[in-house]
This record gives sequence, structure tokens and C-alpha cells, in this order.
Amino acid sequence: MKDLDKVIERILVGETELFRLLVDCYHHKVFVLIRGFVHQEQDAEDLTQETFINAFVSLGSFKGKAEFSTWLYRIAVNTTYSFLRKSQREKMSPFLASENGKENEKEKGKSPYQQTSERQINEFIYKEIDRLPNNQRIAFVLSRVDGMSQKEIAKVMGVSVSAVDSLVQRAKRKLKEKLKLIIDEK
Amino acid sequence: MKNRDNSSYLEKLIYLAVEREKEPVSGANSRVDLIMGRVNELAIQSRFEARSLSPRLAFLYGLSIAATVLIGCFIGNMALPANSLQFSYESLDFIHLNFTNFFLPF
Repeated sequence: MKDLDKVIERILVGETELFRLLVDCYHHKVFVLIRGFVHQEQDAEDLTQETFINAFVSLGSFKGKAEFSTWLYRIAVNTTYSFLRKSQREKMSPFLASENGKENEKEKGKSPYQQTSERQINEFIYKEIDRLPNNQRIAFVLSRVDGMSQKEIAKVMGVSVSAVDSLVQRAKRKLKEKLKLIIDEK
Repeated sequence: MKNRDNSSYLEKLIYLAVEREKEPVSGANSRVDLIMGRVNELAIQSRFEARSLSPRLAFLYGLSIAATVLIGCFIGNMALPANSLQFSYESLDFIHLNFTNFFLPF
């Protein structure tokens, strides 16, 4: 934490190239977090880039009271939500990377029926995640970022740890209920 | 089918769908380079803007110009060419332009 503070101090003094350390360290996590909201690889990459640029521009306002990652994830969520509001993507159905012509390595050994079925289920799950109430959706997506504790999610969302737990549980329950309905239909 | 009613099976499906989005993307490094390129651009821009004229800097410039003119007028008034070279005061009157009278009325 102290090392990170020193790095940030040096960036603010003018050693801009040190910002690469932060980008290298958090790029994948921020990408995964954003992809949990937008589902499309290209959009997630663009928003990840925008998040880091926003973070760089407002780095001077980072006081070190919260952890840098918490501060960065908050910027990522805000950037993503302003994008979603602007483009009203919340109502659009998500696409998988494989639909854009990229065949997943894991799918290669599976039959076309299996692939379609899995893809449909995944698409359905993403759509249902998008339909979750905002706070449940944020808590659920954040909880899926590797290494992110409920305490950290609580800090990002500005709620208590127990509230995060309850939001994640409710989101999971809702997703399971919806998923059960579609699987029963099949 | 019985298995599909199982809560853990549903959880696994959700888990797999989410995990799929965690797969690393190709070209992540070039994205990092792109971010750094933009960051460097912004840093240069901010350095340039910091050097551009701010109201405080404009005031300081104004003040220093006024001080220079004032000192110049003072020196000019002290060493009038008409006095030192014994020229006719009237012949060089156009030099004054009334500046000295305005700044230093003595």
C-alpha cells in the first residue's frame, strides 16, 4: 500500500511512465469487472481504456483514504454505467464473443447442439444479470471479480458488508429461479 | 433431468457463464500500450496548459511591465538629454509624450 502511494506520488510529480505499473496490475481485473456489465469484449476493452484514462486524469483527487483498487473499481462502475445510460444497452441482448466470429477453444470438442445450447444458456444468464436491480447487479458482478472481498465490494458500493452479502444472495436466488424456468421449458 | 432441478447444477451454469467472461483476451498488451500512449499525450498536454497564461501569471506580467516602464521613466526623467548635452529643451520635447508627468509628476 505504501509502495503504491509512492508510485502515485511519483506519477503526480511527472513520472507518467510509472502509470504503466498500475495499468499492468489492474487491467485484467477492471476488464473482467466491466465485461460483467456489458458482456461484449470490444465494449469492455474500450471502457477499460476509458476507466484508466479517467483514473489518470483524476489521480490528483486520490487521497489514499481508500485503497487504490477500490477507488479504481468505483471509477470503472461509474464509467460503465454512464456508457450504459448513454447507449441504453441495458435493454439490448448481449452477444458472445464467439458470435463475432471468434470460436472458443473449449467449444471445439463439443457438438453443434451442445454449443448452441450452452450459448443460449449463457446468453440467457447475461440477459438476466442485466435485468437485476442495479444494486444487486453491481454486487453480483463485483463478487465475481477474482480476489475481491465482500469488504472491498462494500467500500466500492458504499454499503455495509452484510448488505453486500444479502444483495449477492438475492441476485443468485433470482438468477437461479429464472434459469430453472427456462431449463424446465426445455 | 432430476439433476437439473438441483440448485448446485444451476449455480454451476451461472458460474460457467461468468467464468467465460473472465477469459483473457488477445491483444491485452497492445491495449495497455494504447492506454499509456493516451496517458502520455494527456501528460504533455497538461504540462503545456500549465505553462499557458493563467490570470495570476497575466497579473504578474502586467506588474513587471508596469514596473519596467516606471523605472524607465524615472531614469529618463533623471537624465534628460536636454540637461546633459545642453540641447534646447524645446527641441526634444516630443520625447516626453507626457509619460513622465503622468507617472512621476516632479
